[in-house]
Amino acid sequence: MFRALEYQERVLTALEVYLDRLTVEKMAADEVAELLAERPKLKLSVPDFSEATWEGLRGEGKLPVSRSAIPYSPRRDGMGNSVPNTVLKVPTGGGKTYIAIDALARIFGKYFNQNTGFVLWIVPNEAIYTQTLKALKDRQHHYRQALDRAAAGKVLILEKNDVLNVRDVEANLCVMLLMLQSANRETKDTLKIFRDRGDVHGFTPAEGDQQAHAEALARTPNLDAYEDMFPMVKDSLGNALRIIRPVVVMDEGHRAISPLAVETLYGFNPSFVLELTATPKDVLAKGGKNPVAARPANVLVEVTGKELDREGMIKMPLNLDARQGVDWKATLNTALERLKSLAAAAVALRAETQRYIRPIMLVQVERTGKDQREGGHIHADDVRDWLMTVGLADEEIAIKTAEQNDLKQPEKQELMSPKNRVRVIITKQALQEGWDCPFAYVLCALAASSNKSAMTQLVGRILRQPDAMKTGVAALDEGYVVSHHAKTGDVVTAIKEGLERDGLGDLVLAVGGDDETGGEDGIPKRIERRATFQKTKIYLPKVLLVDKTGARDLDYETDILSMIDWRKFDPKTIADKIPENARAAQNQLQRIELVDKGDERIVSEIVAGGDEGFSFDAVHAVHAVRAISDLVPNPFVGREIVERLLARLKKRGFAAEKIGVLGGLIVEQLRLGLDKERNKRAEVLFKGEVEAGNIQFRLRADGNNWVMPDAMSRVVAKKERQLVGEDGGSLERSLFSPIYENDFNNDERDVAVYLDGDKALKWWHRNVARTQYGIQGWQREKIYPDFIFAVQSGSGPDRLLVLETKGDHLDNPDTAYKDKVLSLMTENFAWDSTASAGTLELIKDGETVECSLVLMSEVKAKLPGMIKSK
Amino acid sequence: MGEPIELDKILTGKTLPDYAGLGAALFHMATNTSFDPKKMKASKFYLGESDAAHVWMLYKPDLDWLKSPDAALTLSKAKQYAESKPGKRHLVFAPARYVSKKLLAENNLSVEFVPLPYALYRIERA
Repeated sequence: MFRALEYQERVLTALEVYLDRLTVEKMAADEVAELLAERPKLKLSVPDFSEATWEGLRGEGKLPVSRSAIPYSPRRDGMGNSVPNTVLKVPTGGGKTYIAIDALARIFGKYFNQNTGFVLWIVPNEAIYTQTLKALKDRQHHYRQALDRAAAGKVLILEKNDVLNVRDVEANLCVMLLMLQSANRETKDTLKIFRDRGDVHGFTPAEGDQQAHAEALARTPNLDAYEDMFPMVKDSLGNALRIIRPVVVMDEGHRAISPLAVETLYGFNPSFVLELTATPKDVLAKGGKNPVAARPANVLVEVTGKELDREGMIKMPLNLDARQGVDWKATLNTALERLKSLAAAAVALRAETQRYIRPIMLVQVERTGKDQREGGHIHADDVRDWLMTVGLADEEIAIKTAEQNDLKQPEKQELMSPKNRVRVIITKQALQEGWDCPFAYVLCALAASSNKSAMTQLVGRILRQPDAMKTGVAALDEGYVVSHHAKTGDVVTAIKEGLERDGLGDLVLAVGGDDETGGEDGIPKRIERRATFQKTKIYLPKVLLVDKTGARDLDYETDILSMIDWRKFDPKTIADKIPENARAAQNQLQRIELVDKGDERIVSEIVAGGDEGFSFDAVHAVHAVRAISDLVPNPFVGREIVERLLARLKKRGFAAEKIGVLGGLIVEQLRLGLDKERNKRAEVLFKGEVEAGNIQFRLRADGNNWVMPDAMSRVVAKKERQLVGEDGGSLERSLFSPIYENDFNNDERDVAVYLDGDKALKWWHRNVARTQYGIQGWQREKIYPDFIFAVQSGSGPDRLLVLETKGDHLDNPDTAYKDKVLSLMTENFAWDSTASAGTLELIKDGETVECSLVLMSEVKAKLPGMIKSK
Repeated sequence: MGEPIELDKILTGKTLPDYAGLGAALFHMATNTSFDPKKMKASKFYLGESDAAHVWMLYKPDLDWLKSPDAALTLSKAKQYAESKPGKRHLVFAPARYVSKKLLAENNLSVEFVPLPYALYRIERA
């Protein structure tokens, strides 16, 4: 099951913003470089376009808040050119690979303006290598299908020992998988990758053409060559890569941080480096004999554990049962009972929904070796014997150790298959990263005290939710850790570390230990409402779709996107915007050949994708239709639009070959145009439905409202500062208490302090984005306002005010959109007294709700009026 | 190269196979079970059932109809299918899906959308 997730959308949007800016900066830098080439005496230096892009984004506040103070860390390739580098922080289990592929499609579409090229995909270990390779080679797999869509079906998956031909690179999107070790070792000269070999064709000049070889070296000085009287470039994979200038994707990018790894990697002259990691690592500066400059990660977007949790992708909360007894069998029995109750729940679930889940328990033991059974340690075989005496069959147990791997047996291989019977996996060491089984629900840590690090790692292995979707059955949506004979505090710390390692550090708070002995740098804390508001029920209206079957939350895809009728759409304006002299911001493959032509020798340059007489044919048309399928869901309608676009271009005088060459740009422009049109049409549609009363924003007597929680939880660091009022005293009117400074940026802090000081306010609340109150408008992303506060006017009813603050100007499209949605909602707020029999009825007390957007620069001027008015 | 060209002919409406012909091929591909024309009810868009699933196909050899909202899987259609033949999963071949997977899941509907015409060459369950 695959669905678009809100945060994935957010990541890709951020990347698009980055790429747009990068393209502009790159072109500007190229112009300077051209000028310098013509007039070398000018006192100019070519700006670092990657850095300029980054600083530009920082200026606009587009970088993650937590990293806004960290400087950009420039990267340079083996020839000293600037290399754009971005890190996407995505927790384990967050669909990293899928994001990477979607990101590649954007990078090639926006930055290279073509859909062929070369990607070097670097993975950290064998397990992930095998998995990724299998997925990418399988045409039925959604990863591969996403790639096929990006490259119009011309995808070539390569391994490092495959034959590499320049023609393949020119005509396909080649993805070469490489394990980190292959590119990262001290003795790099002996590595196969740098060896001269006979099956890398066409990248270097013909043997014996000495001048051409010299020329090639001059253009790409970091090529490996035989340095003789006449230098000769080696036909190695490494050299081919240096000439190709690949796009590098680093899975688990935080592992390639050693100076050598970075040097080798950037030595391949990459034209773009995209890193994906759960835990970005900032390399600190090091002095001494071999000084290393600081190299922080250039994090563009951060996805938090909470976002994953909200999409139902992970099992949360984790329930911890820290057993203190000395009898490990009792602990194992507890865990087994848990597994059995889960299995029963799973059977019931399958009967109702046909969804198959077979809960699996991981048992961590102390010893596994054949001759280590004596000596009083808990041994894998002891555990298995005990499980068999209590009734499990041999087929239901698998032992996975260094010397024995039952999971490789044919009948135990496919853990997700209904035909597989494995229910318990016994292991000592950590299972490899990338080994993931969503069916693993229970971790029974029998070696919790003796091997904490393995336990830490194992916690991460039980987090993924089957099908990445909650079941609705609480038991099957949560994870379970049963630990043996270890201090609760220690186990909590270990779990916390485990979560942090998977980039889910913000979720720690959901771990239910029985006491508050947390780790060093913070303990999960429950933050309650103030005593005076503890009993107050606070409701806010949701944006609901109301039809004869009832009212439900407005669903963007179903109720907005699908309702747009594209049948009569004419893409004329889009077609007219496509420039005739378009060129790509960056080219990948640059290859030179020296050709004898009389006395003169001519340097010919071949640029990927440019020479092959492409015409925009059926293949491209089908590709284009797929590429816009998220905007125009019906492919028959999509095809009609593509047809009209092509017809218009032909009318403008574009020849078939030209349309073919510009294919990537045309699709890109079409997407942009359709996106704009979609937002326009969605707005009209939304407003119409509001007018007609089908989309409502009402406080409902039947209780279908958003309910303010009674308590929140948050990790509080040891010396974390609480927010104080204007006079330095404690806050008085916040709904929850205490409130911490770190939850606000400077501007928001001022607003909070201001609100707290206003006597007309009953309470105020800092809304938590993405998990608390959100308003669905006519664009995909919900609006999460910053503040909610209640004003009491004399003896009259309360007014609830919902406030979104914005740092920039109203001409920013996002700000304008939010402003429009919020005012529309305010205009249409009402009470709805329909309540079906048997539901809890809300008493109508005349409370009103107003939503507004205020620019930070106008806060001081506008807030008093808002609080006082009406 | 055959595949995209064939696909394009369908997308542009140049060659639109008839209901039974397309249905038989898709049914077989999706279920590995042989297709029984007697079980098919073209008027209800029903193709038949395998051990695991009921299979439906929203299709008419009529380009205008294929472009219309009638050809899309909607929440109400999903509900209707699930209610009319309970007990098994439902596979629905259709040009478009006008309901989010989230909403299908929230309504506990075990209905899976398979996009036409791409499914002819590759069963994608996206």
